[in-house]
Amino acid sequence: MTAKVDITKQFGAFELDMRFQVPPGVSAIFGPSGAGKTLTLRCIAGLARPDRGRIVVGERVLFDSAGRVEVPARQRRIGYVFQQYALFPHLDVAANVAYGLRDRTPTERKGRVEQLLTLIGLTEHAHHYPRMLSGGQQQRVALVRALAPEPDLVLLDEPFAAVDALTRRQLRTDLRQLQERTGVPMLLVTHDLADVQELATYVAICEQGRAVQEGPLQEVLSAPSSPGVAALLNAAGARQ
Amino acid sequence: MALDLFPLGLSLRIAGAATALAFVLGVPLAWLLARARFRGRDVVSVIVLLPMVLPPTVLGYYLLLTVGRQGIFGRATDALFGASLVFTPQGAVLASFVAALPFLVRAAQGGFEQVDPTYEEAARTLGRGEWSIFLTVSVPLAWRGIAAGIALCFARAMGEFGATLMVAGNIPGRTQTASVAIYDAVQAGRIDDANLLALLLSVVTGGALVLLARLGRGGLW
Repeated sequence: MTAKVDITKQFGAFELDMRFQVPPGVSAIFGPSGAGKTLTLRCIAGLARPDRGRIVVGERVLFDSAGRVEVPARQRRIGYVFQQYALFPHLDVAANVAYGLRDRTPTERKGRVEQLLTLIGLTEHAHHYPRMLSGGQQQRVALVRALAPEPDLVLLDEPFAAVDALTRRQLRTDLRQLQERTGVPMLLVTHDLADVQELATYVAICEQGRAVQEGPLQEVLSAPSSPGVAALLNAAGARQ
Repeated sequence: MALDLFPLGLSLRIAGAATALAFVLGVPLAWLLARARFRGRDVVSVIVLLPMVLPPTVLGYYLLLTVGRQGIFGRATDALFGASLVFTPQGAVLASFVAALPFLVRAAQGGFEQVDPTYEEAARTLGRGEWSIFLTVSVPLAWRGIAAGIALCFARAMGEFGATLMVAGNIPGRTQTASVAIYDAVQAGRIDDANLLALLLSVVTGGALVLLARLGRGGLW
């Protein structure tokens, strides 16, 4: 198991109470908007602080309220792809990708950036600024920027929400290939069931701050654990 | 008699030093006020901004109380150097710095508040520490606000009169800045001197503003 998450957090009137696991490969948290998916990712990355609970990635305990462990975000080795990508607008593509590689030698850094830009076919754009790229290109740069420091896990927040349907299909393929080539486990949150079905092998269904069912994708699709989950999957147009 | 250009040069040096001080202290302070949530934040904010609304004479009087031989700061400098800042060019730098700091802090704070915090979060997940993020993400992205702050701060410091007069006095060739010299010339009926010095002060300050505005528009990126 790559990661185990078991956290609670009160956020105004909203209560987050998430318990789920993340196996290697691509996993997804699926649920409607406002279900607490993004907040969960922020807690895992260390950008938000759970009230109670435990977060373990690989062998490392990143957060444990009982043991008073709280690893700061910068030491978690968790990549994050933000919904709007958050590429640094004042840095070119190469500098964006290199941003997380400060502890490498200049030669290593250059090599790693070239390798990653080759992987996404954007070497010719190395010295362009993010605003000169298409939405799909920006998304791929954000993804390799997160992958550059060789994280233990990459989190993706609605990674395809900001692009058109045609680009979305292409980006899913690219994401799957990148995951297979790098082997870095990925956890994405989405309200689009198509993302889950095309990418994930493992899914946690999230509703009103809770993970109501989790398991291998086909299992969850073929045997919803409750009428609520079944209704959610049906409404999203699930196909087996 | 030829015009004595010493006051103008002194004003430039004092305003330059005050602006440099305000930049070094004011930019991190502006960031703290824009981003950090700490106890006493409102108090700090009010203290920094107060010189903007106080009459310069009141500000100068407070400074005199602090740096004079009987003041807290004055006793320290007296013990260390056997002197106080009163009636010195350094005292004029202090007065200009305190009077001009709020202009830089306000503009820079506005600049930092315009920066989407997601960029700073992204930098955090990429392994960078807070200071590194401040220098490589926050400052470059807030640069327009900071540049505007530098320009306003410098202009305010060039024009500083009341607080400077209270703290540094009016010693020709030592603490007499351009704005004080203009006042002095008018009082003494040397209208030609006053006219010329006023024109030079306007041109120099205006020129500095244009220069800084260019720097701000072009930006660092």
